[in-house]
Amino acid sequence: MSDLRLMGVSKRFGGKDVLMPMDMLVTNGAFVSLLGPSGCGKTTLLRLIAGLETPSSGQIVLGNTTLYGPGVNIPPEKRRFGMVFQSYAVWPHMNVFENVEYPLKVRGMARPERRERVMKTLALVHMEGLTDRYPHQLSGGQQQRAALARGLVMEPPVLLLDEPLSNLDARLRAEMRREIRDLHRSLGITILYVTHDQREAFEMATRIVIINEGRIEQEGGPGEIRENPTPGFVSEFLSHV
Amino acid sequence: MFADGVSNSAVIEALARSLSLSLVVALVSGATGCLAAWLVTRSDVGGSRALAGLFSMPYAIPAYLLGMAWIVLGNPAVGAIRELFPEGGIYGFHGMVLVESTVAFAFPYLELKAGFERMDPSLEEAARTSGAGPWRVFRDVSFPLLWPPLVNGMCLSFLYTLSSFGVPAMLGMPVRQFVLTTLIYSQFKLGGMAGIWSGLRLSLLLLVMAMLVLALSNRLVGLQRRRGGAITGSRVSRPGLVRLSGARVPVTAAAWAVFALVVALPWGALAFSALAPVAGSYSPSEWTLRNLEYVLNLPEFREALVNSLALSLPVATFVVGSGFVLAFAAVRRGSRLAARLVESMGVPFSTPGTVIAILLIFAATWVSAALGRVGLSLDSPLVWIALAYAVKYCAVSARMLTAAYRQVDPSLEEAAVVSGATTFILLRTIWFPLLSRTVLAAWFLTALPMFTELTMSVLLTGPGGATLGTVLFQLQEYADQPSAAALAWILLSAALVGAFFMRGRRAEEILEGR
Repeated sequence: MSDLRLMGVSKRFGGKDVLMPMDMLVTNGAFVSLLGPSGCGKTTLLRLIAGLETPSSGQIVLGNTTLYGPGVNIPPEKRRFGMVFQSYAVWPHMNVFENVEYPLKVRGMARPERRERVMKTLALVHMEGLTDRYPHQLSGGQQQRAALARGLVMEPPVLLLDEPLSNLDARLRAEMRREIRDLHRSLGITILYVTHDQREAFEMATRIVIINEGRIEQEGGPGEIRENPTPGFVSEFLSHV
Repeated sequence: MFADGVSNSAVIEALARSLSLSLVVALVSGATGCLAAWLVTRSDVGGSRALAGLFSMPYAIPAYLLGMAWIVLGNPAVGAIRELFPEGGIYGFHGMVLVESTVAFAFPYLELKAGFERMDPSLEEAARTSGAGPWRVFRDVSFPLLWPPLVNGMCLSFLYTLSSFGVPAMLGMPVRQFVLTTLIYSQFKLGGMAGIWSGLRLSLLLLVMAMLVLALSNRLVGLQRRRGGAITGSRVSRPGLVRLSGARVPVTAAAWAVFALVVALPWGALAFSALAPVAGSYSPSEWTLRNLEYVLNLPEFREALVNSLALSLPVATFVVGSGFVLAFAAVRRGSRLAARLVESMGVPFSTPGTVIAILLIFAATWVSAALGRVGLSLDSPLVWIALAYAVKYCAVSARMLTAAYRQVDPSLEEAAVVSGATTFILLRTIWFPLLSRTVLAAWFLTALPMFTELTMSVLLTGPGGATLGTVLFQLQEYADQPSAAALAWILLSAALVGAFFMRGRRAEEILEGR
């Protein structure tokens, strides 16, 4: 199926190794969380996968398609991932419906079909009543839901989320954690989720990859990591709740 | 109806030419500025950081120097590349569009570049991951969000061209194509009170046009501010650059070629012309320093150099010094009067120099008449030129320093006050050292345009009042091309050095309080 595979992917920037060469496998249907302190390279890794940055080496393969590799570098618009940004990035000049409709419109889907898909997706995130609202008329949480719907609407092979909850208050964060987890279960989609918040990772993910200073420190299921954290960075990091 | 010495049809023709020239320059600058801003902020064009600074350099170059360089290149008789121009060479409307655009493109470029830099890159990245290619992203996201700074930049280009005198004087007047500023100049040159009145009436017409465009520009700045919150990024990430892929090499070459066309080619043309024994002879074996030597020994040049230094250095120092105190009163002492004064300085800054000069000439005749009645006289045109420079450029330092005072934590001042510092000691020992870099930058940004000023000086000059700009203008008018080129080359080199150090900083950005 469409497993996402990284082989020896690294990133150097300004003479500094932001990411050391790393391998990673995101199996189809998994909820993988990239967890680590800020500046550890986890967001860079997500952006390399999305195609927003170019790796310095390695290969990125989705299913049977090479996204990045020797002589291949598929631009982000052709990679078909859904992506949710930390700042939401809902377009202020489009209303909720138009924001969510955009990926379908760009890909040339017919209007009636588009409408149906958009409404279905908005229902998933409980936003069906707010289609005509513009971003400035929405709360932060509602903007985040709109961004989530926009990422989901084209039913991407992998949904990429970059610290999506870090700008929300604690109560809303708890609510959204539950909802994202439920969406993962009910839709069976593959999720790659970047966060610095252990709670988000351990509550939602089926697999956690802990990154520090551009290296993978440990990866495994949440239970596995909690019970057997590798000594050094991981035990230290997990002890700060 | 507009002027005594000039027919209505001539006025209407000049007005139409001013407006159409400004409009065409605004459109050309908008398109090129937009492309340049996108390339340096959003694409992987080669040397984008160097280009980003270099593209802003024309902003600090007096356009008339480039005009002279283009005459060397496109003069119909001996121009180095005259074959590339239509009959008549560089002279005429197309030449004015070309030369004005090479400078005016910096306004939309800088406005839009700042817009791209402030905008949250995720807004565009979200469109890319949604499946939109670079052009679609620009059309659907960047342009709808960034049109106010783009159009505002185009308004500034329009205003710049409308107010400019040097380029239309050098490239339009020889073929009797007048715009408002050059028509005012020619009316004024007729002399006497009739000429002054005629110039004054035309100036008011020019002023009205300028103020209309300025009002539009101010509205756009307001709109930008209100929208700003919605699109300003937390700058969590560098923008993911659009890969130009196969187009990267040709696009990079084209971008550098444009820079060469705008700055390096005119500089080289002036250098060649300055070294040539006679106009139109470009063989390196015949190079001579005679022209440079001639110009440097010219008594007019020496007088002008002394005058320009004596005008720009003290006037800039006075203007920056008073701006330093005024901004202190406005920001740190909450003086309403000072704040109003700083704000009102924006008016002369945006007023065409020609208008300021004509108003001052009017004031000068009135003052000398009044002085004459009590047996005094004020003969030196330098006094009025100094006043014109001070009025025109006082806004730059006052606004820069106001912004700088606001950025400093008040507790630094309060600690000194508690320690017993009086206002004077406070300014000398705390504020001046803290703001010294801004003060220096403000001083350069004030002194440089004064040093090479032409538009106002050419109207206000008189016996004993020659400046570098006016001497150069005369050399050009007398068709002494090698000498004119030699002087222009010296001035352009000085302006380029200044522009290189000040690149990226500019008055409008500061005037808008960003």
